[in-house]
Amino acid sequence: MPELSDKNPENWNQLRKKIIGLGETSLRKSHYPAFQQRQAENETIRMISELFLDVELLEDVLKRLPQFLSERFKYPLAAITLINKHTGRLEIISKTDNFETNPDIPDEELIVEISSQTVATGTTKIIGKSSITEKHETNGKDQKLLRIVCAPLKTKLQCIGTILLADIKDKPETESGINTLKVIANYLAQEINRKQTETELQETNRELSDYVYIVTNFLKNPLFTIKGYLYTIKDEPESLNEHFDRIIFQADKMIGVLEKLVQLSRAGKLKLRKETIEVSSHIQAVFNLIKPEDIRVKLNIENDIPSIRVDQGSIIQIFSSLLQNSIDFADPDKDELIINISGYETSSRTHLNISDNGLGIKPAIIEKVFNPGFTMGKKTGAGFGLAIAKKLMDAHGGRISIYSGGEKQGTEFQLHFPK
Amino acid sequence: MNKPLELRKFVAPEFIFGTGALEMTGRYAKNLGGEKALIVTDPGVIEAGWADKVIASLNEQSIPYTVFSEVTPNPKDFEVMKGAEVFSAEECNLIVTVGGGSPMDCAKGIGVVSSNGGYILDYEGVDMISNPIPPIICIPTTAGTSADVSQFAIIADIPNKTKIAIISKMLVPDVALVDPETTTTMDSYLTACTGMDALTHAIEAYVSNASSPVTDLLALNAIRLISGNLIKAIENPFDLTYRTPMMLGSLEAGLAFSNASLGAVHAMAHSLGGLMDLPHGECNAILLEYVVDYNFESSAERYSGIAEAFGINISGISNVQKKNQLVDRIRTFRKNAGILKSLHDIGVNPDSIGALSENAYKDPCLVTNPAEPTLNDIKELYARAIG
Ligand SMILES: [Fe+2]
Repeated sequence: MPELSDKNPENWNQLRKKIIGLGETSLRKSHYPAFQQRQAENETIRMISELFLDVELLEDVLKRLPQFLSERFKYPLAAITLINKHTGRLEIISKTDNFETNPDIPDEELIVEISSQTVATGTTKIIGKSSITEKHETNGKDQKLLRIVCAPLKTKLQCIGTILLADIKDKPETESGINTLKVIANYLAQEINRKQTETELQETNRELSDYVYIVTNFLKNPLFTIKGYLYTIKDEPESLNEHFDRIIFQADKMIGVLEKLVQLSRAGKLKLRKETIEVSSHIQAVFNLIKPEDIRVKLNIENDIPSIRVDQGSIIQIFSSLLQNSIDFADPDKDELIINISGYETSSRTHLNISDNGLGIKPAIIEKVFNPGFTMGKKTGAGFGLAIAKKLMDAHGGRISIYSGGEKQGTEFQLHFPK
Repeated sequence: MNKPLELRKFVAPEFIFGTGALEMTGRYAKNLGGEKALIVTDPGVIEAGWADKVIASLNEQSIPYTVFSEVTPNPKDFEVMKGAEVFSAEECNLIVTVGGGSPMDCAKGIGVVSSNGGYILDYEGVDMISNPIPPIICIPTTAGTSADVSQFAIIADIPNKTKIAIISKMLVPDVALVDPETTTTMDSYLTACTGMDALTHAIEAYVSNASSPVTDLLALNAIRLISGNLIKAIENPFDLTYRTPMMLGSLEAGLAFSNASLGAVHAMAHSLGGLMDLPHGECNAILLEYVVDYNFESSAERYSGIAEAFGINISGISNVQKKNQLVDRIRTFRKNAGILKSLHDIGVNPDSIGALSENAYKDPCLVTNPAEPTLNDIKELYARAIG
């Protein structure tokens, strides 16, 4: 406001004109609802951006988002689905806790189905009770009164997943509520995309340093050994025959490591051709190939193992790595090595267990077994098998985990495949 | 008609006038999209039962509400901030304010802060509010302040011991429910003070250099209504025959001053309210006759019109006589209404004149005063009113 005390007539006149009110710049009051919506969006975006700043791992951010969205949009159920980059399929990444316990809310299959349609059309979908009722009728389940809103997570280039909100009451969704959800979904998509790229870059960096480690530890030593033999031969040419086989042995070792390295780097970029695979016959075939002469091995494969959808080349490599691991770490104090294979399925996943009665793994190092080049003083191989198996499982959108009771307590691998 | 070619606009809210208007609160709250209302009021109004009537009307439409009543006379900056916090915390999207000028000004301030953030004092001045504020329903319970139709909000700036004026079209409420019945619970002194405030609004709007033919019409009629009914309303507090024209006079005065702005009386009263927390109406009542005396010459024709509206026969008398008769009439009217104190009696002493005058001199109301007083002129006016 112009100061009046300077008694400048020009200022007085200007202020008087402003008071009369011609040429004022304020918005109409009727803009309040639009303003309120914008304010709510800004506030939500601010909170999400804080979440992304505070929480380092994308995984952890995604875990917290459903609860946040559920509170923000006042829907009891919220879930986030993302497209798995390797399989191209939508997966439920996280959801509110009430998911498992509340029979009134849609099952995972339904969420994935609605999300797939939403991603395909790229538009926010509101589903009232009728279509859900239909869906449940075909499932033979009870009719439910449900309200589902599904918004695509769209970046500039693509759809990467969905936000899904559901309520057991069929409350009408306001247009401004939907618009806000769209704005939030777009923002969230960008942030997730950015964090994913960041994570991938970090992963690549880590792999690069893994490779440097592998090269220095697994290629340098044989190379020095070869160099040593060559000097000896130079001084005593007659020892050539004696050292020749040793040189060849070291060179073969290096070639072996290099081949594994190539497999490992390929495993992440492989184009997968998924087909339905019968598990027991494949495991049996792999086992026949690598069965050792010097120890007794009993392979028990359960009868009712469900089939899995995987890339055949990859699954053979995975089975071979895991069986080889059991053979390598058989307990010499036991009469025979027993390997048990079992499996079961849930609505969205197939699970395989491969357990043995071998040496087991100390809890202290169990975390490291999937690192490339990790060995536990075993004679053959260079410690790449499990690293390759893990990378192949990741590429399938699956997971591999390891359990052991400790030393001499055997080892169990669990494989989880998406359907 | 002054300067007929100058552009003028007239801003007024939708308003409903008449007994029972209060009962339309719920319906209007619903029409305005209210999901949850913040009721801004004060303890006196709650005691008189008007807040409960508003709540009953909201209940009828099943609109949830929160009551905020931590408002004192001359609403303070921190009270506004507290109310804005409640508004956000309770996720309100509509304000209903019932009471005199204090709750209404506070409610407007709450609206400003809830939409624009920051501190209420940041919005001092004319047209300084950029974001639209939530819908506001005003239910006045005094026949005086007219915040229910005006684009003004006056807030006490506690750190600087002054009052600031926020003037913006945004502050015009969405609807005013002007129900004369609500004024029946005022005691006689409050009736007198608020009535004199309304009279001051009408007089200052009429002589303002920003007046227009439309504001003139309203201002003159307001003077007639108030001068003809205030004393009777004080004598017969429950008789709507007098309360109703008083409420109408206040409404018309409010519509006039909201568009024509005010003058030196209000500039000086705002300063007294800010520095010494004195009641607004009482200050106006005491100051009015001195300012009329000072201003008369600068706008003799307009003041003659006011004298006529008071019922003074002005034919054939000189300007000085007109002035003396008008000033006398206003003084007698004030005394008849029961306001007998001088500024000195209500605690103002000559030591404060310097600070009071400085603040009054900066008040935007002074811009539209017909005469352009110097700082010394204002000091002299205060000195005379202290007595
Ligand atoms: Fe006033």
